Amino acid sequence: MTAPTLTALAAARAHATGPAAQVVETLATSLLAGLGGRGASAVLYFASSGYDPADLAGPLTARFPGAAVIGCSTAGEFTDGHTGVGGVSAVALPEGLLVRSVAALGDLSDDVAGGTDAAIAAVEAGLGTSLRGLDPARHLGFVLIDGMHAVEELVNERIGNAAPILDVVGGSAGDDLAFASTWVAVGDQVSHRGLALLVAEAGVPFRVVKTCSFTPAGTVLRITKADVPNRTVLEFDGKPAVQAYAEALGLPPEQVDAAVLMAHPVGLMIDGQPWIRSPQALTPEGGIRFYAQILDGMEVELMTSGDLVAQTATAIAGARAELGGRTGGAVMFNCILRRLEMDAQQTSQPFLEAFAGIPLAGFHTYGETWLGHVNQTLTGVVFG
Amino acid sequence: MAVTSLDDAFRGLKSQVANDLALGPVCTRLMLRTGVNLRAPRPDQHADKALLGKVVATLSEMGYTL
Repeated sequence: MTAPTLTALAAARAHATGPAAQVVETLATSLLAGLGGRGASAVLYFASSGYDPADLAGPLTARFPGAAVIGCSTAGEFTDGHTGVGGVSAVALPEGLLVRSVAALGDLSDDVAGGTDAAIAAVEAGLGTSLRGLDPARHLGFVLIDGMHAVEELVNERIGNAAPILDVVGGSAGDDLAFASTWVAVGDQVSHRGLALLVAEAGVPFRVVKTCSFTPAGTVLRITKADVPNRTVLEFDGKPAVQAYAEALGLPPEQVDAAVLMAHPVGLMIDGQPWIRSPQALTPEGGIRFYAQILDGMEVELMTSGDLVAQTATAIAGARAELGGRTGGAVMFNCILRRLEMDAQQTSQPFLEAFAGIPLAGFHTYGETWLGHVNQTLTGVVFG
Repeated sequence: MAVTSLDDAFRGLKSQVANDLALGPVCTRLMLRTGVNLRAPRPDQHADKALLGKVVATLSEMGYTL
């Protein structure tokens, strides 16, 4: 695999484990060294839920004065050189790579729409302009969302209402598969039911990456009855969802287990590309609960799994080629289900190698974001 | 302009979006929120007036009042 040609504005990234104070010191020292005297415009960090965010958010932010610093809890963290659980990964995007960055925290505990709108308004106030007025070729957003309360669709709708043509990429915070509580942070502020929104003006070209390892199996299923708020499909094609799903796979319904669900999500096809909706569990009434909403009347393709690492490498190589072969860094959001697949197949290291040395940090998420909420996908931004 | 079809909605949206590059993310967001790919609606969706209303309302929420 060819190593990338890095730009003079290359990002700095680091990974650390251990007590929080030691992690902050290690990350800050490494990131500052990697920046080589340049200032950081934005710092994104991704931490195991084993850390008290109060021990990370303020101390880490204090080491990067003037930078927009956002972070969240994870279901595993990675850089281009390390992947694991129980630690913290971070990437510092230098001034020049980003011209300016503004971040705000939104509280989603009582009013998801209102909390998202408040974060958007705060970012707009910081930028001095509306998100709608930003040139999408030079601006982008990162969003980290509470991963426990199924709010991603509404958060994305509100972001889309304010900035329909802006690329906003991100992920849902995790908690190391405990499914109890996640957190997001902006500066020294932490929310256990919130979102962190960062909008930046880029000083270099960038490309959004969205890739999954699935292809259509050739069977279309139409949703004829759904419980949308609970992300549950009750019927496909007028039949109980589990029955129709099993028939499409050529299986008896009783053989539809967790492994089958993980290997065969459904894809909402948009211009030939699947937006994956992953089955979470079967419901007692014969429905299937997903990790994302599927609406009544939608048609989805049954998907079959392929080579996760190869697809990742292809997507990254494509982005790098579009940027002229020169890359300055990246931020990545990788689904926890993809991490579990990599763990089972022992392909974590090849997954990192797919990034071909682009300096980056990312985390394993409870959901991915780009234009909307998606599952079992890698989303991210590669900077030229 | 009276919007009586998905084709009308697409034409109205195109008239308000700066260029084809901007049209892509708007149509993707719309598809995720309504199930309608305005650039290539399913044949059965053309006759669904309720769906047309949802498309028009969603575009309005995104700032594109047809």
